[in-house]
Amino acid sequence: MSARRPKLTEGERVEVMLSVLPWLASKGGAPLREVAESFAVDPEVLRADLMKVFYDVEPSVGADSMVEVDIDEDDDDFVTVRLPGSFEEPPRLDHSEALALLAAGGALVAERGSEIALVPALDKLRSILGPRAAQALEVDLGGGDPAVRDLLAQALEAHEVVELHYFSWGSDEVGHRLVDPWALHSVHGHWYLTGWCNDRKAMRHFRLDRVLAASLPGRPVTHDAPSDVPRPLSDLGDVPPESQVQGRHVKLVLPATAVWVVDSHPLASFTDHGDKVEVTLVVTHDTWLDRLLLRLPPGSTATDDDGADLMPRRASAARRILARYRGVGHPEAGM
Amino acid sequence: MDTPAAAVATAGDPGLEVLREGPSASTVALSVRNPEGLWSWLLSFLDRAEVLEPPEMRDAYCRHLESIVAGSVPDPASTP
Repeated sequence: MSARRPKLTEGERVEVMLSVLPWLASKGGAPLREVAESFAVDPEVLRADLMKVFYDVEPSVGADSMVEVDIDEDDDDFVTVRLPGSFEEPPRLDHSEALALLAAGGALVAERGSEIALVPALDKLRSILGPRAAQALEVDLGGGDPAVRDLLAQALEAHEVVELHYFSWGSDEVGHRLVDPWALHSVHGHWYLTGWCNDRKAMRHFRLDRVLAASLPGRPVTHDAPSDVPRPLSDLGDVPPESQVQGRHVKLVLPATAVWVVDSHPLASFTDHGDKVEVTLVVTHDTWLDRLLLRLPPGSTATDDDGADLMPRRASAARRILARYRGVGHPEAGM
Repeated sequence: MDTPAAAVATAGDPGLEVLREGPSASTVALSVRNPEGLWSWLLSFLDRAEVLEPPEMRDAYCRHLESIVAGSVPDPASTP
């Protein structure tokens, strides 16, 4: 029996999976316990990773290229695996496919940090493609100061609290937050820090391009990350997870051509009426609602939970901006 | 733009040219092809941003805001 390895990193778990899958496929299956012992891993971690492969790895071409995994709980957790042909044949990539793979892999490494199972493969691919191809490709997912991102990655690694000087887009407030960092995510081209906000006493997502400054006060985290850290779903930034959202519902009727207005927001409902669409959003911050109302295209309507027209609110928001222009005005306003 | 708004704007678009940085506000320059796009971007900063020049762009943005106050948004084709 092999000694069980200490807690594996995400990259090591990928490496284990890449060995376990062909081993199981060639052997015709084995009890989960035996596989775990053979590869010196925790059986429950192995079970989770096998099911992740089955549910999360999306085939690029049709269901027949899926990795099929079955764990028979009635038969001593007997695991069987069916691999698509692509596992058996070495891939033959043309130049453009290799570049695309390098770009996609680079983006993943940029998002996840050091992905140890992937980095050596990308290095090999880069060496085959030559230095010019490697230099021509620069993957930048954008958003946020790289120095801030590095500092947050350092805090994550060291399990240390970070202090953020943060501009909360939703509430339009600038303030300091002490955060137990859990994960860095890149979603829709923006970086987010997800963690426990010690000031709000709740989980929050912080968009990195709204972090004005960050520092490490040298304190260990007090709230550990859950096993499955939620990713931000929308462009709201600094928002509670959707399950905890307690806001009011706002109903918008938009010209169908302007549905992009709510593209990046989680919707409570969506109804297509042909040339119009009706959507309901959950709004947690008044300032965020003002931004949305001000940017509505012509021909839109907005109503509150109780059916009250929100267009007067929209006019008030515009009036507040106009006040800035009707005040002292220019030269170098506010400097 | 006041400081937080300027920080967000430049982080989101590193190509923005920062002309001046003060303790409470910064002045940034950008080239505009589509005023509608600029209005939408500016509105997202609420009253944390102000068009300084050129004057015709400043006036056009004020007219856009006035039309919102009046309850209607002009046809995009009618704005400069």
